[in-house]
Amino acid sequence: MVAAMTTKIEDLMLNITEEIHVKAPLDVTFETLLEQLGPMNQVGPDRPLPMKLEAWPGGRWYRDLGDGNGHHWAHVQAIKRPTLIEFYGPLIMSYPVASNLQYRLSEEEGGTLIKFQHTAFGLIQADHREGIRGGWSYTHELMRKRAEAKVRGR
Amino acid sequence: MTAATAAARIEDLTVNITEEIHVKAPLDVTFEALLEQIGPSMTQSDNKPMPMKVEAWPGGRWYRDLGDGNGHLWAHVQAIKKPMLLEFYGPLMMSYPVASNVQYRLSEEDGGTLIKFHHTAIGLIPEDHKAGFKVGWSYINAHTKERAEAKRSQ
Repeated sequence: MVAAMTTKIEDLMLNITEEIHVKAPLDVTFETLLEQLGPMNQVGPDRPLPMKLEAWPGGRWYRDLGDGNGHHWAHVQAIKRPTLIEFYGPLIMSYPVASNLQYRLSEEEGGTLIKFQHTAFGLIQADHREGIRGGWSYTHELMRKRAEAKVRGR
Repeated sequence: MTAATAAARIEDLTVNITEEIHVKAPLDVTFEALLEQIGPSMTQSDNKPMPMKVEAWPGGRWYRDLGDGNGHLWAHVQAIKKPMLLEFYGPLMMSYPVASNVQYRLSEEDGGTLIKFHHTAIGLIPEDHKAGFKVGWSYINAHTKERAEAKRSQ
């Protein structure tokens, strides 16, 4: 049982930060981030997992399986193009948990800096705790390559 | 004493309720009856009507519509795969900081449908609510069973 495995308050928390340096302008990077989290999302090589992202306050970030079926990951908590997108919701976790996800973008020399943070509180499964960090890194690396390819293609 | 000071252990912050409901009706009929029972046909424990609305799609709302833009939001649909899965996350009727996950997993069994119900929550949950949940869910689930079996016999 999830609850029984949790003995310390620290076991209820998750805190992942990452800084991504992208050699692309701010607007291109933000646009690419929305694409990567949305229709271009994938969870491994040749493993697409397209998502829909309603990019407005309260909009849904979800997996649309058609005919009214699907998985809802989060709502947009804040969006200020092209410097901020923030989400709250359960993400992939089918247990009681509250997640906050932030992408804060700023200009830096030669491109864009993305400061990413995922914090969560709840009955977080140990295997999810391990997997989530790698999952975000994978997504961010794809996003960085995609944004930089757009610049080279200009 | 506040709920926060009363919660000395992590177990005090959690709710974990499971129930298995054996329904003598096919899967699709049972799923349809479930949506009706937790939606427009919802009743309180004294059988007084308390109709809810369920927007049966990812991110859809489960809420009490009091008209003229008033009401109570219980949860959002976290996952839906008709007719096998319906999952919610949200505060339900708890007006304090809490995260809930509610799952209905349906599968075929000999003579009908098995519903595996699971409600987990973490937050500053008063003891009287913890006790009330189990009774409340059992009441709703029993009515779902009755409704589905009545449909089958029609």
